[in-house]
Amino acid sequence: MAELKLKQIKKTYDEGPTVIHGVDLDIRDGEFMVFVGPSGCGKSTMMRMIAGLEDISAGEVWIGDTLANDVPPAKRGVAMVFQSYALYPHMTVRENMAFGLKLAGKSKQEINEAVTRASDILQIGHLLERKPKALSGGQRQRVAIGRAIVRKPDVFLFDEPLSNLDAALRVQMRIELTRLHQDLGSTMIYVTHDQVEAMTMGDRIAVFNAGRIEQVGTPLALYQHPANLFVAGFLGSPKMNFLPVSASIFGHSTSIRLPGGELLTLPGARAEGELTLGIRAEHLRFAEHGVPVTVELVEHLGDVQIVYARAAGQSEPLAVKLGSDSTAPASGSRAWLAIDTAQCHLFGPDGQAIRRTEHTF
Amino acid sequence: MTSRKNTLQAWLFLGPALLLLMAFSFWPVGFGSYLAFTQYNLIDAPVWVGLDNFRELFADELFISALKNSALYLLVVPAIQVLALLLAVLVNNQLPGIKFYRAAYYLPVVTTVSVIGVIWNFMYTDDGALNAVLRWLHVINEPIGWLSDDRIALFSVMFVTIWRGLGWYMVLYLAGLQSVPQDVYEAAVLDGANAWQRFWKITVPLLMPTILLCSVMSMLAAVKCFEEVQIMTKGGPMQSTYTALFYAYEFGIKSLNFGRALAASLVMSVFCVALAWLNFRYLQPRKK
Repeated sequence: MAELKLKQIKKTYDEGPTVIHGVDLDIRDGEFMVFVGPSGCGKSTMMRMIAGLEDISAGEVWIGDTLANDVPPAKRGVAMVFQSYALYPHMTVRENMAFGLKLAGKSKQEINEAVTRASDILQIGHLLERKPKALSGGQRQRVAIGRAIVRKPDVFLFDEPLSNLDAALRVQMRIELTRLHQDLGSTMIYVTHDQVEAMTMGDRIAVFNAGRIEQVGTPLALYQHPANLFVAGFLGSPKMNFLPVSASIFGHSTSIRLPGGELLTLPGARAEGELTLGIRAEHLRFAEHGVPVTVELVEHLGDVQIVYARAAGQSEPLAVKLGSDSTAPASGSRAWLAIDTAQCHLFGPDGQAIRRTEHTF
Repeated sequence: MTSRKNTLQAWLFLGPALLLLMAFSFWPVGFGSYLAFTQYNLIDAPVWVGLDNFRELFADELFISALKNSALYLLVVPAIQVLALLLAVLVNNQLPGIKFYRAAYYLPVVTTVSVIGVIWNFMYTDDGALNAVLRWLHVINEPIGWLSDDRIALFSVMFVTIWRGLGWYMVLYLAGLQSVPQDVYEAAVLDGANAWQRFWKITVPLLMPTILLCSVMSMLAAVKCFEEVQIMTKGGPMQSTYTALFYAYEFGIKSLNFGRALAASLVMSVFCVALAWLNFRYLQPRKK
């Protein structure tokens, strides 16, 4: 196990633009850190630089007490699980798991013990003599993790390891990986573009966007207090509703004028000018009066219903999350939305969140 | 649809290909095999002679020598495979101008064998480019009779076969190399494999199907070597480059002794099948 420090990491390709712009991040010993962000945001590149598979253009990677920039990948004490599993197709599961140890000159007994231990943890003992093509996607994934475990690395790197699995298996493997982290207690870095994986698995999440980290924090902290419009919009399903508003300070509160002219008071916020109001779908409800909307679509997801309703003059419909026992208005009907002002977020013209002080009613 | 209709439809789909196979493969092989047991000169009707052609064949020192030369010609196979694989690994790198090298190595493949023969005849003459370079480098004082010395003529012809076929096998290996996923190599790097270990433990095993294909193809091509001999040496000097297929050509086309020629061809066919079987037996990846 080891802590990991990234200091001003930059990545520039020879004939291309800079893809990582000076990333700073401290990952604690034994922490499960998730890198999340849209495709092309640089999260996988960051992980590959930690692994040593990509050169670092500038900055420092510290693994434990070692500056790892010039340390060969195999000597960094990291093991990586690839999105495509990257198993050696001509080797059996046992040979796949033993390959690294063999190259390291370990004895047969040590190798057998390590392979047996890992296969017991992952319950793949019965697959050891099979070749990868005779395994299902989930089994291959387990073997790939087993190959990482046998090396007893300081840091585990997972590069979108569940992307190729079907939905049910993905949920199962998500739980197993979280359990594995609890059992091993190792430092793990997990790259994903799936916010559900990020929210459910990570001790902390680093949200990447265009080669920068937008925010680092615990899943709940990021969900409840997004630092900017990007994080607010990226985390949460359905994504946060955004409305352009004009604001003026009114004592210890901010008075908000919605696009339709309705007025709201946000206690604890002090901002003025043209701002963006962010409201999560669960903080909207249908009421007798409020923001007038036309219901466009109702999605029944079993445990919840998502209602998409458009306010006058808005290009995007507002998403409203209702419990399965609530009665959703019919598509095409007129309705009114009440906004839970205590849970609203305000974002300035630069997209950064405007912090609200603790408030009471 | 009834099964009878299904069957009819299947035969209709297979029909054209089967007809072509019958006309250009099965019939010539079958008829040729029959003629190997006859006396036949293209003018008179074939006369059944049983195994006489084969008895004469194995009593003929020229044929035995030709067989030996064809067997010796198999030395081309490991040389061409190793060189083609190395070339493929080299041109698989993304280096500036690499496409030029790929095209250059492939150029002999698309050059007609007659042109290649003329060029290499010129290269191999006493005052040709090869001797001139060796003299300039002070490696030799007297010119080497590349095609006139019966001790080395066969090797000179073999070299042309290698030079001519290298690009073809290089392209096949290149395709094989490019089908190996990059992340498998990255996993090997993380496992601590150096460049040689990656080549030997990852690349070579994953290329085994390609190696098998190339090996069978180059073996058959080596055993069936004819064009280079016909254009460059006509089997000489002292029959040192006389190969089995050249023997069949000489007896069949030139002497109109088709029975003997086809008997020689049949022996070579059996030889080819045996070689192909050996390749599949020892190079085909085991299934688990």
